[in-house]
Amino acid sequence: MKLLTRFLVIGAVVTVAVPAAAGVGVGDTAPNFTLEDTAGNEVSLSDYSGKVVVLEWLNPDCPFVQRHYKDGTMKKLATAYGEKGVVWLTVNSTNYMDEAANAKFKASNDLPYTILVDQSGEVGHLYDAKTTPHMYIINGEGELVYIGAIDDDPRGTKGGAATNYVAVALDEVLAGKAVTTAETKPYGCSVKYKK
Amino acid sequence: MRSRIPIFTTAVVCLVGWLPLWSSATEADDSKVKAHLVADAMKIEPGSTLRLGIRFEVADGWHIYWRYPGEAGLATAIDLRLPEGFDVGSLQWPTPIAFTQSDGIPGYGYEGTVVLASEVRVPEAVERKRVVVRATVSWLACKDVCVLGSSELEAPLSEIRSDSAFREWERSLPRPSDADDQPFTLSTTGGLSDGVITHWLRWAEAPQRVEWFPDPSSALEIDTIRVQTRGGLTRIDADVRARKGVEGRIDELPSLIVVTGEDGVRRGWEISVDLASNSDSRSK
Repeated sequence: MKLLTRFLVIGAVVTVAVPAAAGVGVGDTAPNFTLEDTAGNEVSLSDYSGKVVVLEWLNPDCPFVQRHYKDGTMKKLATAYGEKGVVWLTVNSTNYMDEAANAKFKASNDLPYTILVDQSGEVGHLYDAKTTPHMYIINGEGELVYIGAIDDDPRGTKGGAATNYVAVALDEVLAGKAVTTAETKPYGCSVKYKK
Repeated sequence: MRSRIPIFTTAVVCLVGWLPLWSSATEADDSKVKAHLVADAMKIEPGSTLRLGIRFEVADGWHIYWRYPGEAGLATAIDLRLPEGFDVGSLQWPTPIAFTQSDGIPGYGYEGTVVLASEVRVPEAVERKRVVVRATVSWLACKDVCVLGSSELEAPLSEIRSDSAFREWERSLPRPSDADDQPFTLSTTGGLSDGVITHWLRWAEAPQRVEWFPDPSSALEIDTIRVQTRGGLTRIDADVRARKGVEGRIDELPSLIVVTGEDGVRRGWEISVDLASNSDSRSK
């Protein structure tokens, strides 16, 4: 306490602060949002009430994302778990990517899932998405049960030895189990938010 | 919700993507980053120690990353390989700089030129002409977009140039935590159970500027860093949280204190604090 008291009475020289983010945590109720997809249709998270939902943050210009799309990581997961009733929603909070740019990416990659356009970054900030990719899993009760990286292979050098955290977590959720690795440090490019 | 200025940004993105550079050479160039094999000695003597590493030349406005890149990005990686009998030490990282990556997401790394190197112990018995150095190097370079780069470098040790950057390199390394020239005394309050760790630095001479670079394990999340210096006392607060289900050390938090002196020179000191205790003032 002595330290604190003295600290308060001495004149200020320098203050450097990194602002706090809003954000969500594992165990929180996933906040609802509404965004337009690449066809201009409004999509809300609440449309999928009762379902397991994966949120993926996307920026097609990020090399980490490019590698995963070249390898088909997201598409394979979305297809495989889609057959088990899991909903895959991709959110693009990149400030310069509008509906047309996202539609072009969806078409060129023949994606079976929706890309939601978040140019304002509002939903990205709501979830405190920091990287592309940044992954979130919401269980059927609307609770966030996984937040973090897609896998443990940021350099893409592990091949078949990589652990896909999202697949492992989805298997556990679908089996009615608690997610063992519920949080990891996401890797990738920073989300290119609107300034 | 944070306030933001609604500025419409038009970005022209030059998409370069993943650029693996495979070369049997001492240097590689992906237009954003040049990587050279460098040493601090031309001749190797049996039983001697030399420094061997990579000099990165980063294009203006771009940066590469420190061992803890911040909340986005990727640490620069070097895998240095020498013949059997050579002892390659851990990679030594000069004091980084801090930058804001996007709307407040902090990042730590290097701009301009930086050398990342290891101390290499030469064996007593060595065939000097047959010593070949191999290095696998990878980096993420970012400006408005990011570019992944990698290269395989290979060269006889005798052909690796002695780099003048090593003359200043020693001084760019952070000092160890037990250094007797540490210009501050450190105590901490808070801890993991409090959700906040506070470093208190008491200075003999008030510093011009103080920066803090956390270096947590991947099991820890550090957020909302506040650094305030008032007279001879600096207070550094950071939110700290253990990630659920992630293996890794959560009982200690290593970091760097970087001080800018009156001469404008930045100097770093390694510190490490105990996160397991809480709310007690702990002095080092």
